[in-house]
Amino acid sequence: MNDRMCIMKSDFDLSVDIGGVKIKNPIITASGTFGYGEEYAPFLDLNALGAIVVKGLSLEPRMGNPPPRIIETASGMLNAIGLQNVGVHAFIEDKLPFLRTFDVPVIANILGDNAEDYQRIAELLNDATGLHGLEVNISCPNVSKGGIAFGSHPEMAMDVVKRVKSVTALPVIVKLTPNVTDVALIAEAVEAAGANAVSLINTITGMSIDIEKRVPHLKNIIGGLSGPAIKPVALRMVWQVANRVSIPVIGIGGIMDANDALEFLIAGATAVQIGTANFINPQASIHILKGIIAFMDRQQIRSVHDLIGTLQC
Amino acid sequence: MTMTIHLDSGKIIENEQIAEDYLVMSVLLSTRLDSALPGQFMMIRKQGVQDPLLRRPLGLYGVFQTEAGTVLEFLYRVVGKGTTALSRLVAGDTVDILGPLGKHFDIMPERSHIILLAGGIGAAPLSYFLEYLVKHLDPSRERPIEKPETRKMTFYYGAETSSTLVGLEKIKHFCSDVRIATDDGSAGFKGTITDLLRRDLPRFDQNKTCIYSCGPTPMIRTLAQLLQPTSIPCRVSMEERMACGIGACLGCSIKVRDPSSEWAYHQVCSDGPVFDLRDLLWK
Repeated sequence: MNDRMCIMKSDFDLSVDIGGVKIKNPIITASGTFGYGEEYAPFLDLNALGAIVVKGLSLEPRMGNPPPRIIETASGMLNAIGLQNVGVHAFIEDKLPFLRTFDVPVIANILGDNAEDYQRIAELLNDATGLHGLEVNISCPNVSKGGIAFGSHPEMAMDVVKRVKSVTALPVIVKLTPNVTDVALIAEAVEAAGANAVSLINTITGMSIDIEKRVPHLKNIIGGLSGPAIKPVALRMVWQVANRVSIPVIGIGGIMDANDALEFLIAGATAVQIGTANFINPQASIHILKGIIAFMDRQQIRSVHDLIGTLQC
Repeated sequence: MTMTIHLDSGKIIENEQIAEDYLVMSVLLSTRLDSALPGQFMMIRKQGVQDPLLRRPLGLYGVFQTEAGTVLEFLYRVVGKGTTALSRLVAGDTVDILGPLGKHFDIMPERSHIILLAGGIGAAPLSYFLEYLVKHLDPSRERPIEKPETRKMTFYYGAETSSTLVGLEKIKHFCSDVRIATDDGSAGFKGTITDLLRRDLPRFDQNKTCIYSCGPTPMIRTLAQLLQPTSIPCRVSMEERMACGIGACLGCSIKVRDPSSEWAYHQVCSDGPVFDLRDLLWK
């Protein structure tokens, strides 16, 4: 397809290394917004992407939350999907073979109710060929510890990361929750536990109310906010974390176009993930990549490394 | 039949208010769309804005091939921020448009009496389906229906009041047996459309009748109760808030009977919007 040719043939060095995951460009599709890749294959050449992070995987399949699960808010959306997914076994058997037919790194996003679940999923994924990395979603509540999110507690976050690292040879990216007082503190903790990279931010918890019926718009009452509304918050957190850790940082949060992505790179992100934008335009990731190339061409920048972390303060 | 999903832009030709909060929008696509069938929908949004952010799903009301390209027609109701923004578009404005999406209505060839049952804006996709049936086209195969002359069609249309019986002329143009119910009795039967169906149901031959329906979820639920003791097959087009429209966000879930685990959440966008009524679970 010409998307790929146009990007591959460019004179620009777009390749980056995310803690051992070598990707040809810094555009990654975010977990939960790109299915298992197949939903988007009719719209774009998956090979043109830097990497694909698949929908979060649990040990067993999850039904997800009762509807309504989403509501649009000002320049954003709240979701409470409830981590509906096919489970790690069905992923390996039914979803991964399709993704293996493409020349694009696949990163499995994993989640659990307790630290042992994460470890078990990581072990099971050792048997799967065609995976290039793990992204550990630590925004989940720890059921064994009264439902406190793993990612809001440095020791709990470290425990999960150590367990996963102890059983996998794959690079481990830890996806951080913004629903904490000091996200950089958690980033430092997971770095110390052996994480190869961090990605942030996951959604910001929020609410929306139907004033006529006086009920929450979401059946789950609380949901995760994403989209352009959260971009300034995400950018601030990425900048703070990039200044506090030495492992690569992946920027996520409301990236809609190339300018947004460039802001994250300049703030210190080595790569970015595109999330909600995929819902609005299934080709958003490719448009963003092309926009970055056009910017580099205009500014006479040969390597994306000449952009990363170049913020002048 | 494999169908291409178009990711396209379109120009508004007309966006006319036909009743309070009801509009008909015509969009000229920049490329030709060969197939867009009754029951399918398009995801549509004003181009270049971040608020409203998401596309809105609109069921197809009509499709025309013109020299300039394919024209899609939507009959829609203003219910929130997204449809309010759509209602303000004027001729010449550009929209992002994605589709056709979802499963279309299928013909049940052994059934000679086709009942279409619409509640409110649910009349839009059913009226396009009616047009298809009258033109003797089978959307499942896009070929002529066998023995169309032996078929009888009845269109049930329920609304709050007579002024919101939108698109009634088009329905009457294609169907000679239109039965109306309004909540306030300002037109037709006073009561709900399912009340009217309940009255008529004993007169229908259960072995020859089939029903297609679209409307508010409580209406579909009542319909499910009404048809439960019968053997009448029924297809319903369901509605749920959507973000992507292509089965990725898992936002538009609906509880459906599933052979593997008794039930599962299916997606209205990609597994529907047309479902077998008996597959839907209401608890």
